[in-house]
Amino acid sequence: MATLAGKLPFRPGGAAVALWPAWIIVLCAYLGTMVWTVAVSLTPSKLVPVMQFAGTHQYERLFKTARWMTSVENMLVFGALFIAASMVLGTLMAIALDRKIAAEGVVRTIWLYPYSLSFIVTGVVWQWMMNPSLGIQKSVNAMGWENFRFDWVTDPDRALYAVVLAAVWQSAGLVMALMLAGLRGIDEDLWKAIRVDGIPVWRGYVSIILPVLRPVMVTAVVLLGIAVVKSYDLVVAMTNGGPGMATDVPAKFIMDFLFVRANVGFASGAATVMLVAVAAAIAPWIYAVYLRKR
Amino acid sequence: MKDFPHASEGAAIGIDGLGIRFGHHDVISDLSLDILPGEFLVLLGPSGCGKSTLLNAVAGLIDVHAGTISISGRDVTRAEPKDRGIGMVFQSYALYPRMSVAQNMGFGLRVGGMAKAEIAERVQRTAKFLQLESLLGRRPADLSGGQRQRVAIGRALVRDAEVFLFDEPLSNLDAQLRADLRVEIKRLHQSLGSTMLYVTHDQVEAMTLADRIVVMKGGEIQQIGAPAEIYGRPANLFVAGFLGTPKMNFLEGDVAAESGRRMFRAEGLRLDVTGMLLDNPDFAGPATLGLRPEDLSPAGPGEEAPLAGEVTLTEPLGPETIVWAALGAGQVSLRMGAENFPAPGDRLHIRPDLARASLFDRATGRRL
Repeated sequence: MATLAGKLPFRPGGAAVALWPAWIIVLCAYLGTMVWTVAVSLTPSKLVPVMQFAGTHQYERLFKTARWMTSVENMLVFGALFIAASMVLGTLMAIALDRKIAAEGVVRTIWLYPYSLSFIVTGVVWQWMMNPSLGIQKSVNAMGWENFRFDWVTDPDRALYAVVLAAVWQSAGLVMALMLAGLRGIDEDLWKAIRVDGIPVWRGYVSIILPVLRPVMVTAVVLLGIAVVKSYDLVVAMTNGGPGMATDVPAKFIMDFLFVRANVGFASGAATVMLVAVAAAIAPWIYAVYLRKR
Repeated sequence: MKDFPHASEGAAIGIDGLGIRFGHHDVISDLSLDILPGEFLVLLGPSGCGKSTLLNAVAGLIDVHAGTISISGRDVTRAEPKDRGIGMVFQSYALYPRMSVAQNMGFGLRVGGMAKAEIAERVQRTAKFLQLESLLGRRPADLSGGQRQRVAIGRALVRDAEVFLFDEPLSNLDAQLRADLRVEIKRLHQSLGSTMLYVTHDQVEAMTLADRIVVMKGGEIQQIGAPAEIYGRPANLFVAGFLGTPKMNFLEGDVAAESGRRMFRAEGLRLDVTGMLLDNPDFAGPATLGLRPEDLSPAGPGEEAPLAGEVTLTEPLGPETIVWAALGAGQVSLRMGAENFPAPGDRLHIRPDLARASLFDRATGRRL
């Protein structure tokens, strides 16, 4: 190690100094606000934070609130469907491009295009398209199919699926781009070996190529998972959590209680629960990837 | 090798009038080549010479535009790779990364619908032959380069491949490992006796492994022959320059008849080459004389020495030394012993072994 340090173009002390701004941001902005949020959740704060210990009062209230439980349930359903559909669709699109279809450049751009839009724009556009009195339903009705119904956004049982549809439309392109990059990195000889072995193309993808791309798939799932946890803008733009509580999600719940309902302590409690839940979900994965079998 | 009945019989490959076209560009046109049963044939040439294209065509991985390919007397020009009775070993070995050694070998059979017991038996038998038994449960990432090569060969063996195609399998390995694996491939060929078609740009691999070498350039065969023949009697200037390190020395001059003798004349040099056996003894005109570094030796005292020059550089290699000398007609290299070699600046008198020299027509590049 002494020789390595001697070869570095700078002294290790200098590197530590250069990293200080980053450390300050991490400590103050990330960890600091996290600690502060947890602290506030233990107080009876309403409009403004009051530093007065109230124990687990906010948490007890939270889990008795039907709207919170619904929003958590919505997030789980939305997350499962959204991640699964985006992964399948994105992977199929990537495979289609990898099979060297015609006009690849154009198709790839079109498929990735939705991802360049803000969730707000996606939400508004899909809300218009699915609005029974404005969008697809009206156009089809006007063409003569009077009985055609496409009113998912206004149907409490289906509104969540409408949000999933819009989210998948937006994010499948991202999965496609990631998977395509992975597929392009596959050694061409591997495909030749698969052909010489007489393995059908679909079987080659399923049994040999996709398993190689597991790290890429994990990355895609993590990115989509982050989108699920922070899903707020799409819901606000499309349905504003409605009809009723049909598309409410935890992020929206927290924002409502923070800024609209002026209930800072309660919202902080909800935010803390989200933090703990995400940490609990990620911990086994971090353990498996970074800490085990070293 | 009685465990692999097909392999020991060997199988001939016949390539007749082959044409391969990428778009409007002819990569190979009207190429014919016969590979004998059990033969180890090496396709040798610089990158872009069409050797890998030819191998891929034999494997059925690229489409043929004209001509036919037959394996064991069966026309396979339009057959799928899996139906050609071939096994292929790639540069990266292309093992299936997420599968164990046993799965790597058995997966093709499983997809092909073979019974599990039969697959297990074949994998077991092949693993035993290739000394892979203790590694059957491992993943490719946990294997050494030599073990990976054996698995790649095993994957072909379980399928009863009659012909093995090697696509530069040793190219991205370090020198020591390359030498070890070269020996292993040769040993395998001896014990299996299968027909092997091997592509490389490395002349050492070609010389050591091949029964016959096919030297290619620009999609055309330059010369076919045993290693010694290719090295000793190169058919043209390209082959002469491609094989051998250091390169063959080329002296440019002309050949003319002088009072019944055939003379090679270059700047400050007159050599009587009447004794050389030429295919074209009546030739006169611009010519290139090719002399291998080992066919030049320093002249002893009193010996006749037609070449003379000044030593410019020496490269001691351990068992031998390469000595570079500047002559009037150009720079030449000599292969000399490990000791008693001259130093830069020394005057050197050189005696060529004309019986082993080559003469080429400078206009066509062909051997005279």
